Amino acid sequence: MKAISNKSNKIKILLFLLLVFFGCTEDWLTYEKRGSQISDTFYKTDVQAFEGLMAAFDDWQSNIGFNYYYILDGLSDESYAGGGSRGDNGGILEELNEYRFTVYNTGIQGFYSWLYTCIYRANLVIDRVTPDTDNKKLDVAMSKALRAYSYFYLVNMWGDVPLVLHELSATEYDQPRTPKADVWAQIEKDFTEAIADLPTRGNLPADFANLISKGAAQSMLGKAYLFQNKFAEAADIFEQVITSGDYDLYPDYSKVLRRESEYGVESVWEVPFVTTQNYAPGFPGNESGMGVFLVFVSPRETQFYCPALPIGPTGWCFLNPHKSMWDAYIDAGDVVRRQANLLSKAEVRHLGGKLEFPLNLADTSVIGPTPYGNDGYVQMRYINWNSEGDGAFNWAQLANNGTNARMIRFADVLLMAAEANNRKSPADDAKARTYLNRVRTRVSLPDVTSSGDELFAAIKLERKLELYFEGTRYMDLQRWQGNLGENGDAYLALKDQGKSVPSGIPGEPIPQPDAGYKLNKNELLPIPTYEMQVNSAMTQNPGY
Amino acid sequence: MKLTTVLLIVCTFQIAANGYSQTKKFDLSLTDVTVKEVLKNIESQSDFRFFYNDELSEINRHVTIDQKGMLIDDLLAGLFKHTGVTFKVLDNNLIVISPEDLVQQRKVAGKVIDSESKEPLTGVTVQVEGTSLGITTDAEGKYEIDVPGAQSVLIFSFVGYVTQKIPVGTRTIIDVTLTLTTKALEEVVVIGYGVQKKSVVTGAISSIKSEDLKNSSVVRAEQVLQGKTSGVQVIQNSGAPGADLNVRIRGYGSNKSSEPIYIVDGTKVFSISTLDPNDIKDIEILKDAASAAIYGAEGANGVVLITTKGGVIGQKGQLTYEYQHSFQALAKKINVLDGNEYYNYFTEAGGLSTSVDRTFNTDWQSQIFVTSPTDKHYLSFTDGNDRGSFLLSMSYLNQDGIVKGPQDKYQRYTFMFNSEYKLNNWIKVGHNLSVTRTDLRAVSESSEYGSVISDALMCDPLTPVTYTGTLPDEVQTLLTLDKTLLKDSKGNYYGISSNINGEVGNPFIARDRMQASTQNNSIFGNVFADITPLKGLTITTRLGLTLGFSDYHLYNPVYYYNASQNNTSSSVTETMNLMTFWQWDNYLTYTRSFGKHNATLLLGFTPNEIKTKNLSGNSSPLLVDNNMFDDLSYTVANPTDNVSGARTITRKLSYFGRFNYDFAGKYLFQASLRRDGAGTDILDKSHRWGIFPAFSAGWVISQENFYPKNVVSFLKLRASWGQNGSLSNLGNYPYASLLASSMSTFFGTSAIAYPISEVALATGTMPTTLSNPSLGWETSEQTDIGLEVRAFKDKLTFSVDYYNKMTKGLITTGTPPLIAGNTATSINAGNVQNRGLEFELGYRDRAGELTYNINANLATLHNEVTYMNPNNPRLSGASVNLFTATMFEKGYPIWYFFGYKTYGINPKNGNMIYYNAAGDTTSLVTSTDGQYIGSGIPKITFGATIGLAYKGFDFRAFLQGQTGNKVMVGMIRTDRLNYNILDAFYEDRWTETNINALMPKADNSDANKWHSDMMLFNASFVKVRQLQLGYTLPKSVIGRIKASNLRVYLSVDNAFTFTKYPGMDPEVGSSAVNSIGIDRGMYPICRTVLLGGSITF
Repeated sequence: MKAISNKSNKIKILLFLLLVFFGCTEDWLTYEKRGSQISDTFYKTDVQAFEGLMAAFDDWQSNIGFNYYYILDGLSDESYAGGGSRGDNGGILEELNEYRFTVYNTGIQGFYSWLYTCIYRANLVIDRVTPDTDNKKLDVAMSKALRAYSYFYLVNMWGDVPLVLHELSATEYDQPRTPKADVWAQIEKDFTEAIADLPTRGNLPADFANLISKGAAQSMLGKAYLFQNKFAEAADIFEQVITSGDYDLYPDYSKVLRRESEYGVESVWEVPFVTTQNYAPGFPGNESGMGVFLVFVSPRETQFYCPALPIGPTGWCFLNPHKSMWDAYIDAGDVVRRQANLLSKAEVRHLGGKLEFPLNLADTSVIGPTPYGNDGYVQMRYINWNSEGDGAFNWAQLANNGTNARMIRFADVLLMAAEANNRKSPADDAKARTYLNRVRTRVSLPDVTSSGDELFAAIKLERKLELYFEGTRYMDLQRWQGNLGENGDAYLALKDQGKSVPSGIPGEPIPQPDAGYKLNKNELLPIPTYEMQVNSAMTQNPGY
Repeated sequence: MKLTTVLLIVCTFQIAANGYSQTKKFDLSLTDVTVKEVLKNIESQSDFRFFYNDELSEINRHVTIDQKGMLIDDLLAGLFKHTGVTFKVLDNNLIVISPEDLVQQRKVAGKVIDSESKEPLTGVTVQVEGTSLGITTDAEGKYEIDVPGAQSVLIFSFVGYVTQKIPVGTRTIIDVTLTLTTKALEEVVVIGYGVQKKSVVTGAISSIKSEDLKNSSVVRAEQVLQGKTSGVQVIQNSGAPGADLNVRIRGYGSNKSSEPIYIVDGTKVFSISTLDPNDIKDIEILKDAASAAIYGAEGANGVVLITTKGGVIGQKGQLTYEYQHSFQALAKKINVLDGNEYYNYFTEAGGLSTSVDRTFNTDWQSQIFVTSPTDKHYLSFTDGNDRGSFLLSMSYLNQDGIVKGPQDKYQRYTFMFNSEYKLNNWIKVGHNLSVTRTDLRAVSESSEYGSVISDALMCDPLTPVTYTGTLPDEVQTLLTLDKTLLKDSKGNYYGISSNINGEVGNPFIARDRMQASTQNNSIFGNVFADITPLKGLTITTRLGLTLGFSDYHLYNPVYYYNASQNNTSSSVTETMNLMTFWQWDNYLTYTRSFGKHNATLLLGFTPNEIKTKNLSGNSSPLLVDNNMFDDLSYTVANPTDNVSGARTITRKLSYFGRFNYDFAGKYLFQASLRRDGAGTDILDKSHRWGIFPAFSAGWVISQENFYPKNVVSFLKLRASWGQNGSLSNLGNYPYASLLASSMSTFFGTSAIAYPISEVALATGTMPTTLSNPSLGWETSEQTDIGLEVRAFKDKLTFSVDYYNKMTKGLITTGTPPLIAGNTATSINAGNVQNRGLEFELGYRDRAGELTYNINANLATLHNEVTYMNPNNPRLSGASVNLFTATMFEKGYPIWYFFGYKTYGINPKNGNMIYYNAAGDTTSLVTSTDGQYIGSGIPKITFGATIGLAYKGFDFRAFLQGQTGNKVMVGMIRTDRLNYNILDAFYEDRWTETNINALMPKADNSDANKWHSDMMLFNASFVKVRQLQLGYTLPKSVIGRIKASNLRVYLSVDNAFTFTKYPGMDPEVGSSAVNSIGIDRGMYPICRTVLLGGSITF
């Protein structure tokens, strides 16, 4: 209605608005997430680097029960897969134990995935930590040892595997397999670099004291040489460990896996567990007792009654001693280790208990079937000892079990050294016998006097008896299998595995005709199906 | 805030001004200027505005003036002395200048009639422009009004008719003919940052106008959208008071949220539940991409624009009061097994002993549901003069749910204050303010793991509500064990089922064991200024603000029901959330016409920010276990007590532009472009900017010269294409690799820690996920083709639209290879297509004194997932009783029902025969045989409203329905024995005497059948949502109480539902997007009988 006035005011307003239009910048849209750090700026200080290392170690700790022992013991000839009935363990373990597994086996996927997770976490430390302080040097060195040890398992179990040495970006996900030789070379390189920076046991700073010492890394490297049949190099490096004086055998064999010998003379590398976390009954966490592994493998609660044996109230019997283990101890006259490691049905009854399936557990006069997959024996190596846990009642003791996992014992080092000396060229059988007999003497067995192949056979048997249920057997069998085909150790030990599984009811084994180790297939594990789907550069192992 | 305060003060002061002409003094010293310039000068130093005819010669007379301390009357009297011109100062400081002979108060009278029927129109507002003088026409359409003089202009306005302005001049009789609005091309629609004439709109926009809203009896704003327009589906998650609703515009565009955004008066709001429907003036729904694209990164799921009511400039003060009182009751009792049937079925199944106690036959639904009242009051004031107007309203809603007792209740208080004011002829300022508080006490529902509603359906009928006589032995035993058993208000212990155990039991226990309440306080609104520095150019700046404060309170008393349902330590939980949101829109609109070319350009910019803060505390036990102690201060400190809280921030910055062009209203074109930048909590810096273009065009064929005159008076063809983004599924740094010192494990979240000795745990830190900096916007791309028709003198309106909408880049979990060593964050991998046809039809006419109108709409929907990450081709959705019940997979509708496909019942043994994955029949299926068995998404939705008016009476019927979808009965537990089931599974079950049965035999051994298509039912329905009869009292009656309008009405809502679904209600929604159509015992939508009345003064 009226004409417009006050032009200058309007111009001022326009200018103000224009300022507003362009006043906002990109900075205004940039802000960091509260309560979270981003990886780009982390791994700088000693504390941050150590936290990165702890994450890599934590990966081993949280996978020891579920993957390491469960899978490796399951694949060996030491155990039957069992439980309340067939399928009770989810079928995954039965497939592994009976050599009926396929690319779909989630246990195999879990193992594979776990190792690459450790590699990823170790890579972050190795890539991003500048080793400009003593502590950071140790963080990087230990990360290299963990990475190399992870690749050690990958290359042995799957053959050629992708060699991942840094954090992959999304465009790098399709990684082809790296030839075994290159993977081995990287393993040796990582260990060698780690050893150079690691102090010997006792000279590590307090926070690092129970982690990986020079001796541990040397033992791992020796193992890597041995598995490549580089016997001279293996013998050399084991010799350094043995002559370091840092290690010895713990006098009482029956206690080598118990809490009283933890971080003791025989420990080369342990993955620790503690009792201090106050986990709720039935829900153990990563920091206690290998997750639920001890529950999985302890005697089955509804079928086991033995007040004389101070163990927790719950167990599911997923892994049971193979009868051949019992027989092997009997044949070898190995009373000390048999008694330490196994308990037979008759012995349980002798203790006033029973290992059968009566409705009335306390009435020992009623005899029923043993649990599925159990031939009448209880393993006592990793078991839910009440005294190893902490808590007011049995369940809590089980949830807060503090038994450390003994990854490498000095006895293992001695036996590997014996094997290296026996098989290197020229052989040093005298030294081999010395190391072998050192292990035998502890368990009151007479010295072995043989040499050559006969000595080699004695060393192999000794490993079986000494390291029962410690996760080494499957890898040993595969190593000795080599190219021997039908004469190979793995084939001979596992070809009939799972064809007859004790049902628990005497005389009624459940036939699994398609079971057993197959040549040109079971030398390696399959690449998990998920990995085949998402990594287009990946190829499958033969036979799967 | 200061600006707001200032504006408020200014507005209030101006409107309240009076006696101004008696106090305002002028000092004028002007030499040889025109009278016009003198007047301008007066305007510039005062609030006076002059009203005169430019052709008046006196105005251009040159004068010289030098006066001090003059009142306006004296000043003007001197100026116009002996000129034949006179003036009059009106109440609102408007001064009318006119030739002397015309300025005199006089009466003008006349009659107002309808242009079609020539019938008189009653209740038409007749007002003198720029004054508060006004009156309404009487029953014969007649009026008589005093006007100040010949310069006066009369405004004739009537709802539904085009407003007319008529200068009085020298006439004393003015008869007026009013035309219905639909005839008018001037009808405008709100299009986002502006308005547009409906005739030249090129997008698919549905409007719900105040007329459609006027007689609605709904209590929630979302319900207003229901069934009114095609392609808009309102999914009621629950019939409970205060329960949220989901709105879907043109289908389901995501695996996650696909809610539209709501813009109220130009400012984004997070929920419209805080609005009272009475405060809504009109609603526009931007359905196609081209219309929504101006909202860019937030428009992918459609935009709902709501304009709230305000005063009307030039309309005199009005007071309106409305009261509603209603009763709601369970519309339909679901048929579950009664005592005898229950006994038969479960003894046959072997789950129940034949010697079970059959004393009681409890009908739980009759016990727990009651008829309950709702009251609503609404009061509003509006006023306006020639420069400004305001609305002030308040409402109170008190809704008592149908579950017995006070634990099912919703109260809402709203307050709204809107104003606008012309400061001068180039600045208009205004504000909208809405303050709401809600108090909600809701009962649990929709869970097969126990809730008040599902317990009422699944609890066995052999258990009594309470024990009135001696207690059974097992209950006595519990008391001797010192268990706290719950009692009713009379002091009787509630019945404890001895036939079922686990999570389901007596629904009264489910009601009393958890006492939760939620309070919400919200303030939202905006202040704005429209600046018009040049003709055609408007600059708008608007600051919108939302403040939200909510408080959740939970009290869990000690109680014992059974081994699964008990609480040994009383506890109280308090969670408080604070939210602050602001949005600052700045845009300029420039409109120009040259010849037949009309063009409008819009350019704008808007930043916004959301900040939240929450605080939560939990403590246990209470000092004394009762309601007077359920605060955190009155508990015993305990190591398990905890406090937590966090703050978040999210920001967005957008630039937008739009160009509209039409040639002679015949050839129409529009293009828009929006560029959105996301804050780092949404997307990575490298991929934060999204550009969303849109184009649309239209051709009004009926405007062409060659178009023959026929019954079809208007014919428009339009097409549009555009892209939009969706923000709703991004947030909380979804792309980032963040470090954490805890991770989720099989047993829950656990710290990353490693024991470095027997006593010391060292913390580990690692990235929780791999990063994905290239994560981008979820983008929808849509094409729309539409046709609009008006015919039979615009009595008939019709439109049809075809749309094809593809949403790309759905946010799913990434699938890196295992060698990458960590899980992935989100990636863009999935497309969904929605396409369909939408029809809207309207017809209005009058037969004698009867007017009638019919509005109907129908939409089809084809929804299909067209792409998924090949490495993760199927996403698992919701579970029913631990079995995956919905899946998201390529080639199927989103979140389709997953289960076993059945062939039929084996007549030999009554067992179910299935199809396996290969399509062969089998009696045994395994988890790999699960497959598509149906979808919860309707293929066709429709609605219709029929309105009749005769003399003072009006009647309205509203129907709504859908077809082509299924409901899955999710009230089932196969892991627990003897939970009650629907009659549908009982009546025609296999027995040895009924071997050709529809349903399998009673049997506990085969759980698979409960996860099969046996649980699916046809969910088609037609609902009579509303039947309303109203009566408007004649003016002659209400005139005596000085009222201008008085209407009373009776409404029956959700009167009837026609459906084959045997459950309570086939309209099953879920707040979880992956649970659409699963009925786990949903709070039913109630039948409501409502009495209301409204009066306007």
